[in-house]
Amino acid sequence: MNKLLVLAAIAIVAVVLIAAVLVQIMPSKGDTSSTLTSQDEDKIAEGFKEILIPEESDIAIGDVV
Amino acid sequence: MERKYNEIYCVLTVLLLSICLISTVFADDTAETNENINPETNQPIVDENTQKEITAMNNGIGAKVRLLQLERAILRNILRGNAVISYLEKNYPGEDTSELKTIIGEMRVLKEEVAKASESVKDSNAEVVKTFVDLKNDAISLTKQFRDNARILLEDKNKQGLAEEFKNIDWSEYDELKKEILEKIREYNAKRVEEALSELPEISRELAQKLRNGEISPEEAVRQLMEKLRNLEPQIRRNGFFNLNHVVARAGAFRQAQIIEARRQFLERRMERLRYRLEQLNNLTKDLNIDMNRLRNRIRERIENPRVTPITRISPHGDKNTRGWPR
Repeated sequence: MNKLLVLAAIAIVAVVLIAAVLVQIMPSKGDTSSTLTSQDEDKIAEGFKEILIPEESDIAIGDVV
Repeated sequence: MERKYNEIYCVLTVLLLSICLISTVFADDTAETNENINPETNQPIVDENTQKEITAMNNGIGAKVRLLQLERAILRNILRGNAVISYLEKNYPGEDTSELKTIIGEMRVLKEEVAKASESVKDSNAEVVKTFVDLKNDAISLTKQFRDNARILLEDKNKQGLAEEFKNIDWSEYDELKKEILEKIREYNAKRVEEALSELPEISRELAQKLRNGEISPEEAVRQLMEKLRNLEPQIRRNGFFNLNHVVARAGAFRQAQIIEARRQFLERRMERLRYRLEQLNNLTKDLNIDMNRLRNRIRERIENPRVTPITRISPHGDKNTRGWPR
């Protein structure tokens, strides 16, 4: 009976652990439809803008005074 | 009875272990730990600006642009730093500027290291990004050390004279670098547009050409690109945006991977770099025109105390070099 209890506890813990790991690694279920709203398009354009380098951009390392 | 205790002990141990494992699984990967902080500056090794800069480094031109921009930023601080030293020497000959000169000397060595790295860039890889992050951290640290020391020396001094000294700086080398960077930025942006719209060559060719010629800014290019894509047939328009999204996603994945790589073994790399810099000083003696022993000692101290923030070597009460620092 006691052995059964220990085994049951281990089994529960194992299930909880597996569930926790699965929650972490499973991709979130997003919109899988192939249509894009204009907001989606704006977001993509915004992301693309960030890849481009502004002509006047600089690397900030601070000033000497 | 004893057997029952053993079983309870066993169950509790299993529960405790599982709690530990669950907390590890849910640990926040993005939290700034001590390992992600540069001990010389107490700033993140890869701050938000650097993260954005890395995004552009997943091709050869982008990596070169970032290294050239870093070189330009260091050059600006060398020129302005020399103006501060010159101002103090002309107007306050009693002030000891040797520490400032030593820091500028190391900045010049650092600038050469950045120039060497940018010359050798062929294509982007993890090493280029790590080099950029490492040398940028060095530049921030040296700038901060100069500023901390200069502020003490400049306290209660006439700042108007310093502003005049800044006006006399010869910016020709800086302007040359600026010109080279601008050309490369335009080429980089044009190539990005061509890559993102590879299936729509008519649109990409026109926009890329305008970017290369400097006719339009990157912001304007994106605006025109959006306008052109939205005027296409629904199916072509959709494919165009999906391709664009693919480029954005790939750049994001590259950035994340490089950030993790750049943070890893940062201190070990810094030690290696400082040892290399120390070796290289023997070849640079004539060029720097500074107290080389002092510079060597500065670098040695940082090798010996990698986790210590360099402190100001000039006390605010005119009692200079009293902390055992080399002269």
